[in-house]
Amino acid sequence: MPGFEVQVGSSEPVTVDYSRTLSKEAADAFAAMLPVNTMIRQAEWCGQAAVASVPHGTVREPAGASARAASLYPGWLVWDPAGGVLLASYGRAEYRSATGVRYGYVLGRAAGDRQAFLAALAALHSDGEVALTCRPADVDAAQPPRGPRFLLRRGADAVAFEPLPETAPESFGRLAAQLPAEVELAAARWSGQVRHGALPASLTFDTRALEHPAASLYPGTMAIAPADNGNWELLVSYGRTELRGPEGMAYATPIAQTSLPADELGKWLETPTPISLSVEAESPR
Amino acid sequence: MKRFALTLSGVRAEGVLLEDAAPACSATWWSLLPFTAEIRHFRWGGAAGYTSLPPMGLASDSENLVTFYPRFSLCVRPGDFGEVVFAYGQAQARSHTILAAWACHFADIDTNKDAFFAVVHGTMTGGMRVLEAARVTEEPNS
Repeated sequence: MPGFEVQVGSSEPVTVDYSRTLSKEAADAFAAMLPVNTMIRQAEWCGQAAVASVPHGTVREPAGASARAASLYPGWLVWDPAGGVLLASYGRAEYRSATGVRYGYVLGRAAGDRQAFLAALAALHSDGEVALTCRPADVDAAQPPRGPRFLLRRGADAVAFEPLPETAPESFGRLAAQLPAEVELAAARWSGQVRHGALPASLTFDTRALEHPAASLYPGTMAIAPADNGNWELLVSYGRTELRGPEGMAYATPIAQTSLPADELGKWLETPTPISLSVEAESPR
Repeated sequence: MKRFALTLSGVRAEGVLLEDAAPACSATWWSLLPFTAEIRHFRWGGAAGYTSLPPMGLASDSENLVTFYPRFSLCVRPGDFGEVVFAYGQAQARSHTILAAWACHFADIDTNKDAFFAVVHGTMTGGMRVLEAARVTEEPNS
């Protein structure tokens, strides 16, 4: 599978395949730019993220399409071809500049020793900039991790969501421990291609603070957020999603993601019947 | 007028407290001197370095508030972390979910500014630096 290898300083390289990119056109343009040898440092406007200057590029998306995102999930690589920057997050992060929020193309998620990769990025804040190398590579498709995963089930049909432990290290387990639950998902009014529904009032998280708040939900992402009434709600993105309310950007914690294509997920979610959310103890190989 | 000195990677500068505009924050800063702290580059707010001094964050949440940090100033974000900010360029009080927060502007650096803040700027690519802060003089208000 086409992808690229990323090496931060002297740390072990990680690989990124393009299977989860939000834009095939962006992935093709980025691939054509490689290899890149540059420097990477702590970003000054984006939170827990590192930034590298890379050559400017042009992405020709289909007319009317826009597949960019503002939120940077830990361990994911985001490219802004117009700004000539590559971003990699190691925690709570959003692509911003002096004048506010910016948007970049999500290329994919690092595979391999992701914890070491995140540690190498985090160290830049105290240790200073280091060399960054990105080179093309044929990479193995990332395997889903063994361990618990969520299932959205309607009758005999189920869609599996693998955990995103870097964005929800606590929330995933807290939610899993309180399942199963029944949820009715409805289209969001402000936020694009996302469905949301109330989780049972009995479900608690002992906090209203969000782990790794994200406004952008990448397609196929399941997230949780506090609702206005004090309960929590479940959100499932099936395309371009930026969480918003009547007063601006809103935030949720991404907890899991499905590999089901976004358009298929969108059709599956259309049926207005209650869906059961449960946890499966271990994902099969 | 209370004056203090900051030394960062061997580069020394002096500053003056804004006691009229920010009496509580100025008094807390003065009470903490001398001290040693680690300066790192801003992650959310742009062209500035910062350190954590928790007593400073608890001094006041309403004195001389700014959202854009004045260049060559010292400001502090209210809160438990006590984020003291050393702005060398375009910078703003921000966090992950807040694009415009507030901070108390309590001091200005007025000697050797360019050299000192060049070292602060250097934390962007060079990483953490150790700051030494000390009292210089305490003169009667004129």
